Amino acid sequence: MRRPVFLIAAVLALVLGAGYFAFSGSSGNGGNLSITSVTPVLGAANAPVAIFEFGDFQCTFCHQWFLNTEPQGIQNLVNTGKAKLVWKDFDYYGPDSTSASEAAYSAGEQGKFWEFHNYLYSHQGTPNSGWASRANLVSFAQSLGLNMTQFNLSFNSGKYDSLIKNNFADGQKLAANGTPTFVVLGPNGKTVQLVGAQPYSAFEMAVNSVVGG
Amino acid sequence: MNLQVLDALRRPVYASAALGISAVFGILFLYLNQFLFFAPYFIFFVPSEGLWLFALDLLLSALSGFVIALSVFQIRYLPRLSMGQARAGLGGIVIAFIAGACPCYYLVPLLAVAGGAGGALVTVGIIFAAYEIPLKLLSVALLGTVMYTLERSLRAACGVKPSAAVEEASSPPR
Repeated sequence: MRRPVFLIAAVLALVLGAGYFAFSGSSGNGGNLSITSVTPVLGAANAPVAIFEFGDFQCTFCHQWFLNTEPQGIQNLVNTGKAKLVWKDFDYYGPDSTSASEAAYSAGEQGKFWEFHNYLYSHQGTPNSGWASRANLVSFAQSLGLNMTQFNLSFNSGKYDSLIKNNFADGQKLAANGTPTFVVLGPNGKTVQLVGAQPYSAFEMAVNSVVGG
Repeated sequence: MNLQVLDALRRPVYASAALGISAVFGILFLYLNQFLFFAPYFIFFVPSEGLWLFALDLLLSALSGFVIALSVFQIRYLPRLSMGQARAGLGGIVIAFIAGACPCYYLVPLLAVAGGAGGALVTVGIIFAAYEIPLKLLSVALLGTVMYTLERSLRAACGVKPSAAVEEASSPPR
């Protein structure tokens, strides 16, 4: 008699514990939000607001955000000059994620980071199933019409290793507890953090909040 | 047809427990599947391609709430039931929770960030995520079976055996 009651209590405790974990907010302690010459930026450099995306090319919710929110964000925030979108990779799924980032940065040397970014999300498969293998990434570059000699040289050089490690460390410092995680940075340094594939309305409110603040 | 599980849920305590537990599960599942956001703004958002998952989450949370409440009712009022019958309900709850909460992409980065052991746990998270819909359908089937088992056990416990009734009717009055 006591054992089932104990089990029910254990299950409920597990549910409540998970709930507490899920609903407890995260607060960053100031990761590096700087933009360097190799940081991919979409939009006007002088846009007052920067939306930093910490994402992984293999992450399904990043793909959802790419499909459901990013187009509206680009149309209403980036193309209007209100904000710029800044990419920071946060590769937690494993080597294929890192390779995908290296490939995207290499494409960026030829001015095609965002095309490569879009291509990856449009062809995303199950994480670590091989869809983002190095061989496939090379074929994606070919499909986008990149200069393959230049791409391969960059892709195989390991030159982006430190950038990728630093971006991951920045994400950790910001207490990114999921991907995609966004940090909306206003002109006065005010930030708003959004975690998950949140809809456009959340970004609109966040941008207005940091501009107003 | 008079269902015993519905009779049990006519008691306000158990009805409230079922609804309350369903609500907790529902909020948790919707949050983990990114249909519900609490920060920085409270937002409810179901993208068109997520409708099936959303419906499954609601169904799972409702079934989980009812199964937990009815399991407690069963244990409270039918103490002579076998442990096996009680375990059926609890097993269903645990599986529902695992299926609902383990495809939680939210946990995966944290586990990865955790370091060495994180890698293996990421793999587990990916597997759960890849089979999210089949796992949830399996959970619905299991919880449905558990509900059926609960209905049968309650009916068996509350019913009067026909043979006993006949014997009683035919025996001479004392």
